[in-house]
Amino acid sequence: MLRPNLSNIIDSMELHHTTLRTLRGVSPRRDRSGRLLFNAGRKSIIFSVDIDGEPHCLKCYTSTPTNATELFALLGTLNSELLSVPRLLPEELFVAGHNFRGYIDVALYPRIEGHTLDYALRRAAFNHNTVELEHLAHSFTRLALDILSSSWRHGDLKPENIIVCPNGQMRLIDLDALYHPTLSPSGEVGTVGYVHPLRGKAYDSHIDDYSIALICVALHALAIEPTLIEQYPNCELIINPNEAIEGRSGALAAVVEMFDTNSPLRTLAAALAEPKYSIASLNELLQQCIAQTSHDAKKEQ
Amino acid sequence: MYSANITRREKGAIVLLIDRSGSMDEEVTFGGRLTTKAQAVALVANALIDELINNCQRGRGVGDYFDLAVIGYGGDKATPLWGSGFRRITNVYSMPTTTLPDHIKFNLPDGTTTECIVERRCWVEPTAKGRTPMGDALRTTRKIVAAWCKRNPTSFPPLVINITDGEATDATEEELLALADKIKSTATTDGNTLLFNIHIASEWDNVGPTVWFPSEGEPLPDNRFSRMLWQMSSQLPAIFDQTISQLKEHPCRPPYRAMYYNCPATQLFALLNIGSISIEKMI
Repeated sequence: MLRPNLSNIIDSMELHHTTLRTLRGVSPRRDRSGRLLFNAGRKSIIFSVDIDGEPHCLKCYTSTPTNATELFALLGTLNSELLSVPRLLPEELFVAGHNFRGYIDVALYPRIEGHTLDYALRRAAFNHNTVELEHLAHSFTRLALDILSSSWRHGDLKPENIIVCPNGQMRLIDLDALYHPTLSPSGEVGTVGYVHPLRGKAYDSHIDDYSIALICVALHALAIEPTLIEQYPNCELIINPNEAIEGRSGALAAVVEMFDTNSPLRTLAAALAEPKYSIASLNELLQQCIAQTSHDAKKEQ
Repeated sequence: MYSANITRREKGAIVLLIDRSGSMDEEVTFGGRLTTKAQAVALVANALIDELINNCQRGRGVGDYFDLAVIGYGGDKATPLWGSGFRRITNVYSMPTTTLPDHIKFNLPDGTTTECIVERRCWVEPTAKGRTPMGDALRTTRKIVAAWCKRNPTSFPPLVINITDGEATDATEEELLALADKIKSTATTDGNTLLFNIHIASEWDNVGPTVWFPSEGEPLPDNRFSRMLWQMSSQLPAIFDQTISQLKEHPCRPPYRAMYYNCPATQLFALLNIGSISIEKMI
């Protein structure tokens, strides 16, 4: 069966009063031109909606993860502050187009207040706000340590999937690639630009290692030199993993030199060039980053 | 080959070549209504552009994942719709356009109907006038596609979709085949440019059977034009196999040829699925 086009799904949302099978009280949000507010994913489209006045995200799948039922049941049990608890609504939205006619699955998430880390870091970098970038780097390092201490891994870690809340806390969204030892793999492989090129379809507790190292290193580097974001505009986040493991990343070479010889960040940066997707002693290195940042902050005071 | 992901760093490219000759004024049935070929093609082209933009919508707005070019050909020459050739999809999104009201009506499984009117943006206006300068269109396409491949050497190669209802009036068969070969020889490191040729059927003449995405051994109608279209069109790589197999009721074995001969107007929306193949490569 062919998948529905996003345009077909958008048309369906325009008629949500009758095309949603069970959900009621839905009010899709729109931009100033009246266009529905949404975000397109690889296999879904996520609408910003209010349901009885409460903000939510309605994720409409063009292709539902094969482990969706398992995944959503598991998410309800994990009890983590980093994760919101979604509801899977099978065959919820009726969609009709030239190549597809039928119901598609939908996931309902409470919407998390804040901006994506992607938005936050770019705004801070373009404003040369090193203080904000240091805060983001520190908060991300804490987030990473929380992930590594949990029984699960995100699987598709990138700044667009991290929300920076107004209180500075970071929370995770887009959980379709989640790893848990009891969960069947969904087949999701993360996002090019943030995963190790040789990670492939690996599904284990190390699948976030490379993304964590890349984002951590990039944020700390930006906190030192915000113009890196303009110097390397064509990468997802400063460093291209393919170039890094092939030893031809000018960005990585520059970033390595920015950190002190004995700095854990220098070790993390060097790890980005390794041929393995798992990073030895990642937890310890991140702990050292936190300790170093706290030490530097005390010194400045 | 044909494995590169489409990212903001390594964008994709799509070229729409649209026949705007006088014969495109012929009436056809499309969407349950009587319209002209030109209007049907414009509607599908606009829907494809809209779908591309929708797929590029990210948290920060529309992401720069594609370069798009639309070249109309009618009268004496081919004319790129937007200046010299490609435009970023972000530019296409933000350019001013007219809109047309579209009446959406769904027949729901429970027997009820639901409907509303939405405004559809029109980047491509229907035009039908003059002769068919397909040769000039292919020449212009080769130039812009070659330059794009040079600027984007490691990207997924361009898709060129040529939509026509008849034969060229400014080039011989040999010249057209040579021009098509030149387009297909442009390449990135990920593969050669893919050239699709979609021939729209007339509803009023007895023009013979439809052939779409034929396999290598599949017989063609016994006429020179369909054979020429076949030679002009690319042999498609494996990434297209699944979608084409799903589109065809009785799929033969791949590889398939990128042509649709005697395409009924009602099937033009299959083009959306061709375009969406490259969308599936997006991260």
